[in-house]
Amino acid sequence: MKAPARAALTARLLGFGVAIVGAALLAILLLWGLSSSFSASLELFFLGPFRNAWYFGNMLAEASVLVLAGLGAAVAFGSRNFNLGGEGQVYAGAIAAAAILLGLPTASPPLGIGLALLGSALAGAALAWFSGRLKLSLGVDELISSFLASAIFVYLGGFLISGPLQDPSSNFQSTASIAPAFRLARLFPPSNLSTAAFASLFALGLAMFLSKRTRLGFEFGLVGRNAEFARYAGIDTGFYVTAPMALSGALYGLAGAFLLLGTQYKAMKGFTSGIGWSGIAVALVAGNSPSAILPSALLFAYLDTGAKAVMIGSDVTGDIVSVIQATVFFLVTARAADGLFGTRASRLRAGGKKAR
Amino acid sequence: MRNRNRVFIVAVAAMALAFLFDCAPKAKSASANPSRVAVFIPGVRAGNAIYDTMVKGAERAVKEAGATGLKVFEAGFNQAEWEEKLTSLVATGEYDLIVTSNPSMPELCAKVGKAFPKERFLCLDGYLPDEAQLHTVLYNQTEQGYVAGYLAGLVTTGTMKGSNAAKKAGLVIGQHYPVMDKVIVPGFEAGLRAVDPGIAVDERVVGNWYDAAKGQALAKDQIGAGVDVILPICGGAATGVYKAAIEAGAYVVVFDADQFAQAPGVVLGCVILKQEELAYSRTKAAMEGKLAWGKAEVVGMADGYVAFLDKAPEYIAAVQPELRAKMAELLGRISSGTLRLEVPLSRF
Repeated sequence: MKAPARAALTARLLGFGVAIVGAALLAILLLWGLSSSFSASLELFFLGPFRNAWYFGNMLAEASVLVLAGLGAAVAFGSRNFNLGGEGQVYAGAIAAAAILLGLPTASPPLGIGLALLGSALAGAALAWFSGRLKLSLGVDELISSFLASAIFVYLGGFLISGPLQDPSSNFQSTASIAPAFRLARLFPPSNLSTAAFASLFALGLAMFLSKRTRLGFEFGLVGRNAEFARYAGIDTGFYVTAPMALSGALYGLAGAFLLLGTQYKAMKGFTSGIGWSGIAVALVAGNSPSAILPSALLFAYLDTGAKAVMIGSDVTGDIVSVIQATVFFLVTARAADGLFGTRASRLRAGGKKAR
Repeated sequence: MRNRNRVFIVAVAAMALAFLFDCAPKAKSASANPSRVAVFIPGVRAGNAIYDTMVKGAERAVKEAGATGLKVFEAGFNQAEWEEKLTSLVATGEYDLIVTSNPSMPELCAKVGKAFPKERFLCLDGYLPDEAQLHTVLYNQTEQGYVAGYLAGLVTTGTMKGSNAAKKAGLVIGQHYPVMDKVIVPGFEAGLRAVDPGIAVDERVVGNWYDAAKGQALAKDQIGAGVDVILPICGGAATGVYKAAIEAGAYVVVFDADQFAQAPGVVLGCVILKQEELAYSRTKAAMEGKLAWGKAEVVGMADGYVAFLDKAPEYIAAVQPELRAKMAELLGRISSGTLRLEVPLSRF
């Protein structure tokens, strides 16, 4: 790595570290002010995710789904397409997978799971592709259209779950459970961590390979950095509007499918619990870089699990926990501290240019 | 540099191993009777009398037993998160009895209990027999629905100020679920038709248990279609139903709790569940080791856990004497056993 690039990376890492420490201090301050059992709340917030197999496994399970959702957001953002419809696409993927598996209860597991994954990817992709197509054909802002299409689908999905797909024997608004043969093996019982984690890691590896080692990845990044330049270089930039949107939607859809196959086993109304939005936060913290998605997803899952632990084990309510969580993420995502070290990086970069 | 990396990797591996050995859920001290109690609220306590009274009942039992505090955990409205939250609560290993209330909770508790075999669950307002870790108590909601329907029937066929000639009663529900579809709604319809077989029911579904604006819109629409009395069974969304009824001069019959204060003169009658008493008695029995685990019971008017508030001044002031006389006659038939209203358990 050349000196200016190394300096820039160091500056970014230092900024990230300062943001993390600052956010942690702020969380401590908020807990001190809002909890009557400060030391217990503090311990639960920071060490809760490592408290037992349940919390630890769930943290990893959440991270594994967030890796897919984060990749989904990063694929779109990295190519300058703003897919804000992740929530609906996760929902679409999960419902498609549930419908397929409930429709084929006696299919062999490889066939059933394969079809469910394909169906979920297609459902998520179709929803996102639609916004890309509108942008290309009619100039409709994909940020708005993807958000609105997703919002509509969340209601439509809710209708499907509590209507035609509703399990009449359940008191929940949910589909029936998928057959046990289709459920992914649990790795760390009683937690939700399943073999879906391997699929997430595979998808992550594939994304890193594609982005760094293939022409597709190169063109993808080039269009994202400078679409005009890419067009002059003869790249079909239209393709890089619809394709990244569709790929982004497919990854979100797969996140929904793995949530169904590995954790929930049935599609319930509201069961995505904001994963589509969390995926955006993961991608932003990772700077849309596939190689940073895993640590970013782990950080998010750690904070979320700590928040849940403090909510269960102390007097801190869910609302206060959400405030703490949002504050921490705001500081980290906004990279408020990056500027502190930017001057030195700029100096080094300038020095590097002179030396050349 | 390479050596430093190796040291780091070894240190991380050692920490991970140490953690893995330590990370299984901690075994709880085995005690014959549950003494550490948590209340799991599948929703929120504020504005929900059923959950509020459950907490009060459990609190009273815990206090009397001299046990240390009661943990109250609100799981919020997203049903999809309840299982994880319930498991998280149980996984702390700090509670050996979970008290909860909701028709959906027995199936969830049974599922969560499989991973925590020492845990015990007291589920009110639910029914699931033969689950060794559970004791469930179902209210006789056939009776409850029938009494509500009977009063609504008298009102819609009567000559009260807000009654019209349409003979149409409204029902606004939060969602469809087995107890609603197989017990409550048939009970309500049977009550209406006991007054007059020609009464029609206009049923609407909110789709959740909190959307007061939607509850109001649905009730308004029902009233526009000729409904003059509504039974809302939709949690916080019922606030909207009261509002629509107040604006239009229609009437409301209330399920589960005393809600006369919400809309005096509009709320005509309340068929309540004595949730506080039930939570108190069953939690106390559990803590004394007197509760039969694996048993599912049904309690009703004869046991004193379902009641019609016929002595409430608001009821006496708002409902015509001849209608009250007919209600008194009905309640007499139920309490004497002349009219038997059973929960169709075979349909569960």
